[in-house]
Amino acid sequence: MTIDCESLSEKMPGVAHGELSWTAEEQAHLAVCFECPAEWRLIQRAARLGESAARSINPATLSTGVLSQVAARGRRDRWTRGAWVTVLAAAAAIAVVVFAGRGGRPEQLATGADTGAAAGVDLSYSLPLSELEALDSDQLQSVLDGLDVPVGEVEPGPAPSFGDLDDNQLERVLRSLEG
Amino acid sequence: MTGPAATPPPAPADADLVRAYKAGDERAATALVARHAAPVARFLNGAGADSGDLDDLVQETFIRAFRALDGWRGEAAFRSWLLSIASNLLKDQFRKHRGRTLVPIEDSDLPATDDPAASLDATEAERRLAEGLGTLPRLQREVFLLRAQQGLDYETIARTLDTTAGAARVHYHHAVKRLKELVA
Repeated sequence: MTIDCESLSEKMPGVAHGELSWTAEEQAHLAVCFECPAEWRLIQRAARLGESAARSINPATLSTGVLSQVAARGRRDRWTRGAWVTVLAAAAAIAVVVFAGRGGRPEQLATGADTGAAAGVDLSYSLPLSELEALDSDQLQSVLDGLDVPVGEVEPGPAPSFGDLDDNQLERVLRSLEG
Repeated sequence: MTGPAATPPPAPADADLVRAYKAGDERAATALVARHAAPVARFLNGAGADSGDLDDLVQETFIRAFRALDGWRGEAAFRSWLLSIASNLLKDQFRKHRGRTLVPIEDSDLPATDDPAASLDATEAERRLAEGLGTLPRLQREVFLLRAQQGLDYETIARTLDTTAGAARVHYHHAVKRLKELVA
């Protein structure tokens, strides 16, 4: 049976850790191969690497340190979570008090109403009247003629009849009726 | 007449010890530490941890593990899970001290034998191995250690280092090739 270096290479860590063993053919290959013995020495050294360093570790002391740290960090985590919950609850309570206080103050409500009214007026001035854009100069002038008297200055009185209208006004009424 | 020799009870499996610890038995944690501290220390040492930091790193590995036991899925071996935590810990430490070179193994870290000449040879060979490991990219170095030092298979290495078994195999063979040139 022919032994190839690759299969031997794959087996080396297992043999070095005592989980596998070499067959007679594999041992014979190791004795004559140019490449495999160097790799086998490398793997054997690597399998023992750090043994002295590990001997300096005292499992009993280590275990005590680990358990006390796990407990201490657990307490710290619980304290941190508790502190966050307290801070968030306090912030929520302050927010509720502040917003409730604002909502209940009459002057704030009045200011709010005024602001809303002002905004309404502003909005009415800025409303686009796209239908005016289609009118020529004469038509726009006739519209302006109809608006030139402020509403507040018109004397209250009987509603005007058709007989009171001039030719231009009658023409506009007719056009509006015809659509 | 003597009866059959009493065989010692089998050591409890890692999963049983983890279950016992989660149920409040601290002796189970002590048993887990005693069982796995040396392999974790050897891995960290081989991967370039400063020997002065080794105790702290091993301790931190177990602290993180015990605090995250709910994240341990029983299908992965407890030791390979510990080694993946140790690997991440070392990666974090290396990031923190970016630019710091890996610390080669010191004389006191090397195995002593009764034969002074053999000991000297072994010491020299292991020093070269440690230095060679220090020249490898991190993943190659850790794959090599998990395979050659810890005896893990490629599938387990892939899960431990969050890579694929194929990539682990390639990294391993690259590492072997380079280390043979440096050490042999």
